[in-house]
Amino acid sequence: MLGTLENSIRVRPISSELSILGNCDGSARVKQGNSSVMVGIWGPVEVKQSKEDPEKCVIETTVKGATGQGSPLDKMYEEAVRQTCEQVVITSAHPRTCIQVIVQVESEDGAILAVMKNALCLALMDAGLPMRSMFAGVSCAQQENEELMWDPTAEEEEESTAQYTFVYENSRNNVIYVHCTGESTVEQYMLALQKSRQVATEVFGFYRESFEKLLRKDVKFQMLLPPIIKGEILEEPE
Amino acid sequence: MREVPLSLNSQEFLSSVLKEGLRPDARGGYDYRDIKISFGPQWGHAEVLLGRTRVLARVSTTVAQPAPSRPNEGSLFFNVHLSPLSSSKFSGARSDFSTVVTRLLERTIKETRVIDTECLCIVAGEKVLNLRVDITLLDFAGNVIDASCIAAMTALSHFRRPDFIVNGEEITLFSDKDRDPIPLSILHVPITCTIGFSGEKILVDPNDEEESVMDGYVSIATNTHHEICYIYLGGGVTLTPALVSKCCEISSLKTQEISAQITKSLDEDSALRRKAGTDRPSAISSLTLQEKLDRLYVEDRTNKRENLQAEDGIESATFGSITIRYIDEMDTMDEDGVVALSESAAEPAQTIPDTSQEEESFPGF
Amino acid sequence: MDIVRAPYKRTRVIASQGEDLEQHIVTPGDVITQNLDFMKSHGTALSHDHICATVAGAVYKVDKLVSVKGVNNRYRGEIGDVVVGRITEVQQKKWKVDAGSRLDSQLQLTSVYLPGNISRRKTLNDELMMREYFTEGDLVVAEVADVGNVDGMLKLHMRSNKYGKLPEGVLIKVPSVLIKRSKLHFHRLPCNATVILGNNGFVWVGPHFSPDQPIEPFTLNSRETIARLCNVIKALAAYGVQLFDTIILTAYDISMKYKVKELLNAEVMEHVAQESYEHSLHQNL
Repeated sequence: MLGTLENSIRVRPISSELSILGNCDGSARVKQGNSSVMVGIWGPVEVKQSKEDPEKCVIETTVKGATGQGSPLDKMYEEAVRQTCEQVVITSAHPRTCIQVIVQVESEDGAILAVMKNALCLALMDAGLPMRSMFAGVSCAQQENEELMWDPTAEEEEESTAQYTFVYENSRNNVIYVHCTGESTVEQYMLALQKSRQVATEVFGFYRESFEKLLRKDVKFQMLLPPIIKGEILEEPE
Repeated sequence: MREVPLSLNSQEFLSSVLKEGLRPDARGGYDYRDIKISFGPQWGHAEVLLGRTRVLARVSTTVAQPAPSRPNEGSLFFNVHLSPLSSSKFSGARSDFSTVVTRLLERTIKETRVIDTECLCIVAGEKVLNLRVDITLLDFAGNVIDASCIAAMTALSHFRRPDFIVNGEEITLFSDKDRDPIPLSILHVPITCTIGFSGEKILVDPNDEEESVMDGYVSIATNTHHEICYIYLGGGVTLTPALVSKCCEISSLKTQEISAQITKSLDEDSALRRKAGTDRPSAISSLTLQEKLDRLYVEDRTNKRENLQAEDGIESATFGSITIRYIDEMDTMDEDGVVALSESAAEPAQTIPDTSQEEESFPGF
Repeated sequence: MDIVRAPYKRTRVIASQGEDLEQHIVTPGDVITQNLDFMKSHGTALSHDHICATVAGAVYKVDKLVSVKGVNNRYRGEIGDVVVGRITEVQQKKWKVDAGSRLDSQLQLTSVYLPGNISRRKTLNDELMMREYFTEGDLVVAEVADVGNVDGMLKLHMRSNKYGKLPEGVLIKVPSVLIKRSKLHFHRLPCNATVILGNNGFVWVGPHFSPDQPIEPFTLNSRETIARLCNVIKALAAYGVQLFDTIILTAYDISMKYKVKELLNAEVMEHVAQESYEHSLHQNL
C-alpha cells in the first residue's frame, strides 16, 4: 500500500493503537518513526451553562508536550486541533454539550503536528463522534537544495529551509488546514501541496485498515458484524 | 466531566468482600497486577503498565548554574502530571494528589541520593547538568504511586546523559551522534510498594475500585539492599508497629521482584537496540521505507519465530519506531503477521505492514 | 489482563476476506448508497445527494432503514425502549436515573404508577414520600417516554405494573449495541430465573417475580442458576454476540458441562460464545 507512493516520496513507518485508554470515550496513539502522540477524547459531556452553545457542541482542547512545563507552541497546537475538530466534527448533532480533546505528545522527532492530526482523527473515530469525513496530516520539508522531503525527523526539519504541514479531508480530497514556516517560493509551495495529497491518501487507507482490523481480527467483534449477504447494501428496496 | 461513582450496592458489596479477604479480580492479598515495561526511542523514555494504570516517564537534561549551597552537584527535579486522559477525576491542574506523588518521588529518589549528582557537575560553581523527570499519568486504574515510581526509576536507569569535555575555559557538550552518551550513576534502586487496608486485611497494589472503598493505605519504599527509603502513610488507618514491620517485609520482597523485572527489560531493550543498530536513534532517518522495513522486519521474523515456537504467548519486539506483536494463530499467520492480542480495555497495536506482502485490496475512494 | 494462551486455530464464523465485508465496514465520509429511498438512522447523514457514514463501524440495514454502528458508542435512547437503570438522586418531583447514557435520565413522579396500581394525581404527601417508593441505589425498569431534542436526556415512565423496582438480583452492563431489538424484554426462563434485557445494555438477572407476590427466599440452587446465567451473558458479551432470549438459553445449556467458576476463564468463555453463535445461526437458517 505504501508502495504506491512515487519514488521521491519517502515516509517513515506508521503505527496506531486504538481504544488504548480505558476511561476515555475514545483514544488513539499514533507513531510515525520516533514521533509518538496520544490523543484522548471525552465527549459529548456536560458543559457549564456559561459556556454552552444552544446550537452545537463546544470543543475544548489541551495539548501537553513530552517534557518541560509547556510553551507557547502548545497553545498554537491547541488552536490547530480545535480548528480541525470544528470543521470535521458535526457539532450540530450534540448541542449544549462539550467535547474535550486531550493531546499528549510522548516523543518528538519531527512532523509532530501531522502526527497529532492523525492521532486526533483516529481518536475521534474511536469515540464514535459524527464526522463529515476523515482527515490526515502530512508533513513536508524543503531542503537546502530545494528538494522536497516528506515526514522529516527533527534533525531534518532543523536543517530544512521551509516546513509545511497540510491536512486533507477525504470526501473531496480538499485541504482543510495548512501551517507553514520558513521561506519558499509559491511554486515550491504549490508543488508540495499537490504532491502531499498522495501521502494523505495512503494515510486514509491506513485508517481504514486500522478500523477493519479492530472489527475483523479482534475475535471479540467477529460475531458482532451482521451476516454478509452478497451485494445487499446497494440494492434498491422493493 | 462527570464521574460515575460506584453504586451504593457495589460499594457495600466490595467493602464487605474485601474485609473477608477476597478480591474481585481474584488476586491474592499480596499479589501485584501484571507489570509491563516498554521504552521509547530516546534514552530516558519509559512507559509502565501496572494492570491498566499507564504511566509515561521522560528524563531530560539542561545545563544551568548550580544552587549556591551545592556548587558541584547537579539537581534532580520531578514533575508529575495527572492527565485528564487518565480519568474524569483529574482536571490536569496541580492537585493535592499530584503534590503527594511528586513529594513522594522526591523523598524516595532524590533525598536518598539514588543518582550520584556529583557526576553531573561540569564546572564547579558555574555549570552543572540538571535532570528533569516528567511523569505523566495516561490511564488511571489505581496505585498511581507505585506505577510512577517504577516508571521514574526505569527511566532514570535507561537514561544516557550527554558526554562533555572541559578545556580550560571552553566546555564542549557532545551530541549523541558525536559521542555515545553516558548512563547515569545509579547508587541504589528504591521501589515503592503501596499496601491498602480494609478492616484487618491487607491489599497489595489496590486497583481503582479497591482504592475507593479501602480504609487507608501506606506506601513503603525499599531498595534491593533491604533498606527502607521512605514510608508514607496515606491516612485513614492507624498501624501497629508489628503491622508496619510486616508491610516493610512485603515491600522488600516485592522490590526484589520488580527491580529484577526492570533490569530484565533494560537488558532486552539494549539487546534490541544493538540488533537494530539503533544505539543512536537518529540512525533510522536516512533509510528509505523499504530498507527500514526490510532491515527491521526480516530480523524480527527470523529471531522471534524460534522464540514463539519455544514458548506460548505473545511476543513483542520494539525497535525504536515499530512495535510488532505476534498473534497466536501461528498456522494461519497473516500476510503481514502483525495483529495483536485482545483485551476488554486495551485494543490491539496496529502496524502498517510491509508493503510488498500486502495482498488485501480494498476499494479506492 | 492479557489473554495468553497456546496458539490454536480459530474457526471464523463469518465469511471474512471477501469483498463484500469491506463494503460493510465504513469510515466517516464513505458513501453507503446513492439511493435516497433509504431512511437514515444513527451514524449516517445526507451529503451531496448521497447517504454517507459519519462514524466508523459496520452498516446495518433493516428493511429500508440504514444505520452505522460503531463499537464504542454510548447508549442513545429511542421512544419505546425498555431500560434498566439505577436511581442516583431524589429531587423535588422526579428521580434521576443512571441508564448508561450521556446524561442522567429523568423519571417524573407523575409518570409513575404507585403501588397498588393506582393512577391518581400525586399529592403533596406523595412528594414527601418519594423516598418510600424509590431511593438512591434502587434498580428500576422503565420505558423511554421521550428523548429531549436538544440534549438527548431521556424521560422515563412506568405506565404499567410490569415496570417498577427490581428485587434482589444481579446487574450486568454490556455494550448497548449488543442488545437485539425485540418486542419482549422480560424473559422468564425455564431454569427458574428472569432476565431483563434493557436496550441500554443494562441486563438484570434474578428470580421470577410478580408485583404482588413476595419473593421466595433464595436457595443455593437458585443462586447458582443466576450466577451461571450472569457468567454466560458476560461470555457472550465479551465476544460480541448479540443478546436475546434464545441465545442466552442455548448458551446456558452449553455451559452446563462447566462449573460456574470455570465460566470466567477466557477460553471457556470463547468456546461457549462460539458454540452458541453457531447454534443460533443454524436455528435461523
